[in-house]
Amino acid sequence: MNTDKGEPVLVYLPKENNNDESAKLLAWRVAAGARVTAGQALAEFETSKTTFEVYAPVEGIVQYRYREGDEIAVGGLVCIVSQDGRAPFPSEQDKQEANVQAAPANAPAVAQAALAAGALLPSEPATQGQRFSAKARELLSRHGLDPAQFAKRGLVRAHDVIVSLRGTSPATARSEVTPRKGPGAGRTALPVGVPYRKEQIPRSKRLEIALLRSGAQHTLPSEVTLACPTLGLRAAAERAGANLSGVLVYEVGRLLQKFPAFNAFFADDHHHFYQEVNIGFAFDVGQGLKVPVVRNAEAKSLQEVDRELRELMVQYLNDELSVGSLAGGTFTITDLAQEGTAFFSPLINQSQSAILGVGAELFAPGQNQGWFHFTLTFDHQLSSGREATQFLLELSRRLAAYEQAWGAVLREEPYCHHCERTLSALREIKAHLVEEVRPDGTKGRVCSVCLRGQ
Amino acid sequence: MLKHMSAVVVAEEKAGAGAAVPLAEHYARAVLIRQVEQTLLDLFARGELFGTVHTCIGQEWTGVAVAACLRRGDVVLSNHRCHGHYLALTDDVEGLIAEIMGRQTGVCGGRGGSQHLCAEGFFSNGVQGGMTPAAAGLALALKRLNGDQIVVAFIGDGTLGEGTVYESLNIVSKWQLPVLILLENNLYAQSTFHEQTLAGDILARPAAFGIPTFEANTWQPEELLAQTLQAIGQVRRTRGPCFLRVDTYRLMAHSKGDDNRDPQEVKRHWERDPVTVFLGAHGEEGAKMQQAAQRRVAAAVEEARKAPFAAPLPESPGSAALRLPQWHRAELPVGERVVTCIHDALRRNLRRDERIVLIGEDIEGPYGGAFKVTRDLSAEFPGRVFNTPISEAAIVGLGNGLALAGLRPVCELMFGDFLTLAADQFINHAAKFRYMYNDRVRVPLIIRTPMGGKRGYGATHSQSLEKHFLGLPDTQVLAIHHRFDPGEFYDRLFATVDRPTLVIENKLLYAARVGGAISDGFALEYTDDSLPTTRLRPEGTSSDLTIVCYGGMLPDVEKAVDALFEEHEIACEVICPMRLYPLDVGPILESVLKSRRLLLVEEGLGFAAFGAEVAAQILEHAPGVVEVMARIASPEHPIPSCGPLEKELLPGEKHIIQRAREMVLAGRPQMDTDEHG
Repeated sequence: MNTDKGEPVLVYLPKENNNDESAKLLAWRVAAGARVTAGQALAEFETSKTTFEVYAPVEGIVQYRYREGDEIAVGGLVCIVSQDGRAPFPSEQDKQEANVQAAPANAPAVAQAALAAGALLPSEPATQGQRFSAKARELLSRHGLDPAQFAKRGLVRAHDVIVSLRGTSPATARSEVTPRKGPGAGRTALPVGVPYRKEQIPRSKRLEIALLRSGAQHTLPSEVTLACPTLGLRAAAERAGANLSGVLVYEVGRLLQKFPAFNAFFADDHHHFYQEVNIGFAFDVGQGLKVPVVRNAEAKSLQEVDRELRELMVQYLNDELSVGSLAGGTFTITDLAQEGTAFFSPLINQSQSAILGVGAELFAPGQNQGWFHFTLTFDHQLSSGREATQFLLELSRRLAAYEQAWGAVLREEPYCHHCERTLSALREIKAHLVEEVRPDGTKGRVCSVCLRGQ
Repeated sequence: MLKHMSAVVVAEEKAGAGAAVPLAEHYARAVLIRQVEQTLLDLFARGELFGTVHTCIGQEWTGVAVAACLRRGDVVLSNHRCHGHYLALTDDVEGLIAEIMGRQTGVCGGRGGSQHLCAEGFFSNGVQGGMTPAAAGLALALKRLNGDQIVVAFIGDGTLGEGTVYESLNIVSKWQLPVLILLENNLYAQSTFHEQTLAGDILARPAAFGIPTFEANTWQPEELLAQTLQAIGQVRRTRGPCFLRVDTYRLMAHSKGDDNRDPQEVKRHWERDPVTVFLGAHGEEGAKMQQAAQRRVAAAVEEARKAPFAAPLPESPGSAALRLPQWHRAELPVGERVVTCIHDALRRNLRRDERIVLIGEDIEGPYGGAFKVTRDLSAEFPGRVFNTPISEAAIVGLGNGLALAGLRPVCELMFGDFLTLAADQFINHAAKFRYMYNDRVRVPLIIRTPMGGKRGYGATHSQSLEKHFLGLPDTQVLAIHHRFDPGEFYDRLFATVDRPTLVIENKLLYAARVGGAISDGFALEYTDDSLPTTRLRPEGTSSDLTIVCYGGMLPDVEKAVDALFEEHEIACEVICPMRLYPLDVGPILESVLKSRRLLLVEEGLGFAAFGAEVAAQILEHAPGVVEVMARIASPEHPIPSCGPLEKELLPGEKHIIQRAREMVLAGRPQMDTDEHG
């Protein structure tokens, strides 16, 4: 106590007995800012056993913040006695006060008292009779979602938020997404006699399993594979600055309007046709398998689709994909070409009826002409092998047109600058190419069709 | 049928010792007693008795002398060698023989047997010294009635080894209670000669406590009568204690068939035995007495043989069937501190019910109890709230006596750890009386005691020992908590108490406030019972885990449940019973049927404890329902004194959260709850 130097003296609440961790301030004996003498009674406190007083250790002016009725922790700061009555309350004390009054400042004193008595931990105030977990609250704030849209009362988990976001999930989705363990449910007989190691499944895989299980459970999957000849569609696209994934999404988006059976789902013995085409494109290059969705693909231009996919890829690589961009898919495309896979059997996703798998281009050594495979896994409840084949044929035809457009660039085959038809294409229509000199002096080629003005 | 004390011949002190009754009548009584005892030995030899019999052959005159001086309203407490005392007082030859032969027509319906008899104004129990504090309690009750009734407590020389005797001597003297302690000094404690185990002088003991002493012997019956009359008269007059040592000799074995004494010594005593001497001196009269006795006893035996054996207790209705509980929602706004609620309830009920008496160490104001529960009650209720010496056994024993007398004693034991010192009084006396005495008595005794650690008091002042007292039939063990008003609890308890009741008050809870806001998203509910089970139910979702706890663990469980949902999205349902024994497992079962996971949390040691019992009952009622079960309890070593270590070791919020997570997340497929789906 450095009264000589004029430093303020902090007065703490003493421990009066072994059983109380706080005491209630019953009454101040002096007014704030009053001058007190050494030994003067400052305040009266009450513990579970008795009442006692706290006295001024030195002469000076008393400053305090607590009100009568407040609970103060044992060892907490009661007040300050200083020379001029203007001593700042130390910040450390704020922390100590916070230990007692962890509730927000406007919480009623009784809750604070209860807290001090260690009786309970107050949680965030309810919103319309709900209680959100920390993860749920984080989701809400991240996506600017309004808690009011949750009709659910009581405890709300992050999962409930996601399910709610999915909006039009059919009734079947719910049971898959929160599988409850019934007695004996999901128990496989474990092998005997062979040692094995048991590992926990990461969360993302668990979700994936759940979604795929759901897809499998509610569809009758069948598949059709089509081999498409190519002269190097992928390379051509890259050379030309376009993205094959963008082209696929764009074209499939349009095609699905002709083949609605693949943009639908089967439930309650009914076909349900989606009224949007939201195409999910599967990414699995470093951040796990994720399927961001391009919504309303059928209404977007190629540039828009391409740009959006690039954006999603960036977000995916930075692990910044939002929940919104992962939800609401009606069709999925999965491309395993990078690993050189010829073709494979993709699994239909939850609430969908088809998925398109794209294989790698395979060239025999030294050959210009190669193949790649499309596989369409589809729900037989909505369609048939014939329809699936038609779908794939049409798709490959549309892509072939690109190839013709871009393939010429790769091969550097002579082509007409006006209509971009290649020499081989012109040959087919019995036209030919003519070399020309343009007004600016550059040389080019024009085909006989364009010359004739057709 | 019970024979009333009207059969007892009452002597007037003024008229002189036994003057109203000829000596011969007393001898007739002694002869009758001896005949009964000898017949019992004979029946035993034939295998018609159960257990053993402690005959008082040679000592009959002590009972006879006491009976001659007693009046209606006096109470006799006896021991294992109680037949003579009983018969002298009640003349109930038929009832005694039937009782020892295990018949329904016996004194206690065949349930008590030779050592545990109960009649109007007579109680016996076979634990040495165990009835002496009860004698003090009964005397205390008699003293309040302002009459001149007294208590006579029979002990033996061997009884002087038991601590409770000294606790009782101290108390009856300090409080000046009207008790005559009659010590039958037959020189042998079972097989042990007194020189081996008895230090000092017998009468020096009561004298040390300031109790007036008398002495007599059974070989001089008239003198014995005179001394007894004088001693009893003094007790009646002064309303204070007296001590009478009666030298005597047990002619037969301690109990059947275990006599190793020198046959010469025994023979010598047969020769000087007063009954033998009398019969020898009064040949014809003596012979008539003996024949009358023989006839009566033989008839009693015949009657008894015809009667049915003792019957089992009827099945109490609904005890086997479980019923699903009815829940109703509750709001409990934050209220007073628990200690204040208890204090106010005690005061309320002391005002309401004259029969309530509070005893314990340091409970009088201004100190008001170690935890300040009783505060100023002694000032408002002098004579009904008072301090005892540090004698836990006697405190509870006093309670036994007060309860038998029809009062409502509340015994405060300063720390629950000290319950061990009173264990015999609770287990072998309080819990046994009702059944042993064939439902003739109730023991509405309440013991209140704080349990629990986390205050750094160390291994012997921090325990939760209630588990050792669970399961005693006809008792109840209750634990208060902060989610049900302790004041309301005590109001209900006082209104309904009819059996020995142990109330656990957790130390930490004293300072806590009752009620207050519960965790958001949970509902607080009670069952319909008078001492209800409390439930904290998660709303809007099914529960992942049932947590069972009681008393002081509830705040920790509540905090854990809040954090478990907040951080880990695990929804728990908490079931907190207030009655640990007898246990209604219905609410717990209902919860487990929904959640399939059971976590049992208690502060004490876990082996064969409350959690284990709950688990066993759940398994019995619904095998296969529980998929995963765990118990959280105290670590298996005494509690350290170091505060931080103690808090770390004893079950708390952290342990509960960790265990709950292990139980729930292990089997649960994790739903991806962040954005990276």
